[in-house]
Amino acid sequence: MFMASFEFDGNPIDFHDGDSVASALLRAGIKELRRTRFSSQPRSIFCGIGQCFDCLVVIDDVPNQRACIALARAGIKVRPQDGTQ
Amino acid sequence: MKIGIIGAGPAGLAAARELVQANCEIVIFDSNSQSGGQYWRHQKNTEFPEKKFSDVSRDSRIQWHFHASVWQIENLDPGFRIHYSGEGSSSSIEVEKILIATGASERTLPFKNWTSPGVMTAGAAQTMAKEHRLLPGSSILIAGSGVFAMPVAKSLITLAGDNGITIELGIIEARSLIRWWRNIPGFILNPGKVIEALGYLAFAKRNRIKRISRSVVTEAVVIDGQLSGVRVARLNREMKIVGDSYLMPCDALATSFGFTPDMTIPSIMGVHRVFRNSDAVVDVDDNQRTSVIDVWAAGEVTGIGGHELSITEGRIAALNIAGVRSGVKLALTRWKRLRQRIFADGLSRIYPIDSKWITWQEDSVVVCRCEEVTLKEIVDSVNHLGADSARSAKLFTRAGMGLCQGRFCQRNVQDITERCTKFSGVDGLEERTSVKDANRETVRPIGGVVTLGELSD
Repeated sequence: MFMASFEFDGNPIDFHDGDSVASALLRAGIKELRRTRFSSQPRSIFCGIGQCFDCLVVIDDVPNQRACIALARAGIKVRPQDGTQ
Repeated sequence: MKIGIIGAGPAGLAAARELVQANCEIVIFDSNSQSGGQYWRHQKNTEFPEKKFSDVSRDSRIQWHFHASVWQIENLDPGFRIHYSGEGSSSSIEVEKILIATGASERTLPFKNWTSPGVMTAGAAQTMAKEHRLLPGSSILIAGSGVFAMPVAKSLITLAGDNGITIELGIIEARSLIRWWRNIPGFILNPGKVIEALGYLAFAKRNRIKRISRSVVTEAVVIDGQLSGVRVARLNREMKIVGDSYLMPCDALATSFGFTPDMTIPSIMGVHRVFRNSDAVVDVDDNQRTSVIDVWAAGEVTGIGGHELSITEGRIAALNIAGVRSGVKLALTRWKRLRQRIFADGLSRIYPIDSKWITWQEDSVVVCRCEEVTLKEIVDSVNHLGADSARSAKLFTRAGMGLCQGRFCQRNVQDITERCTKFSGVDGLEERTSVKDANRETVRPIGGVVTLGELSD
């Protein structure tokens, strides 16, 4: 049962109640969440519990948000993070 | 009496349950959005997974602080001021006594392309399944070492069954099952564990889980940006790779080599630490008291042992805080801790992480994910710059200086600095036993990520 949606890179993403930004994105089949600072490699969810900081995204223009622990909320604008911001 | 408990997992909740009965004022901090820690992770607004702790997990007499990352604790002597941040601001609370129950982080070992999307920790796969009812893939491999693979496999297969789909699942284990004889005393003292182990074996058989022993994943194979499989190599008795690696297809890989105690809070508080089963852990006495007056520690921070041991330790700490000095209850709980500890130590004898994992890797493998530092850079810092600990290697290479604060690489960097010689392609250093000091590693002035904005408000 999908509750509402937020925006990722301009596209609408539906989410369930209790979803994190990352779980909603993974459910939508989106695996790449950001690119690294030095070698521009794609990264996704790794530890899933907010400890590894690999799933960093920009939420409503605030960078360095951990997608795995950031709660999905209706209407937020999420962008993949490019490097360190 | 006001007590601050850091961590709302099994140890913290078990302590809280005792302390509420003793009419203590309790403040609990946890970075998660609800109580239960990693072990009792569950979907929001559903029943707490362990009935016995369901009441305490939402007890209104407890002051709860979720989404709270404790980043500094001042010793006011007497008393403490706990600084915590979260949701855009930082606050502080004063307490008289503290229980550290911050648990453990997953131990992972690097391999080629392990930073690719589709590769995650076994804990991440478990969290996805338990908290979000989400499968990481349809052909999943769990690779590494230790007993955690089985409960993860069970969660994934159960979830797939609930969703009416079938998934392929395999376990790649670095050690041989025969090694279980090493824990015969543990099984004799904890007969329930025999039943649990047999249950898992039966589950694996029933669900046709492929199990490959004495093997490791050496590379994640990525085609067109998608994880398409892994390369697997066999290990000999000396834990060295023998023969050529072969390809196993999969669309998700969960990796886990067990757990390592999270020493962030213990180190900022300056409690004395010792090595236990090669991990730095908090040194506690028979009552779970640390070297700092009015500070106790329980659970994985005193040595990896699983949720049951964590509960027992949490209870003993609480009894001591509440002033219980003798009696049948205390004696029985201590005996329980002893036999659970014997089981846990037995497990760590079955699944030790041999630092020979370094020989499985190519020079170019990324060890520090945050700062993208390779194995070669760390080895060079030892050979050419004189790095002799994870701390000095960090200062030379930035390994461990990123946002995760070394939680994922520090233990591995420590292994590399301790024995570089097995590494091929670099001038041989004699195998060295660097000064092993549990109090030297993991010293950080701030125990979490806190922004200047949060501090200034």
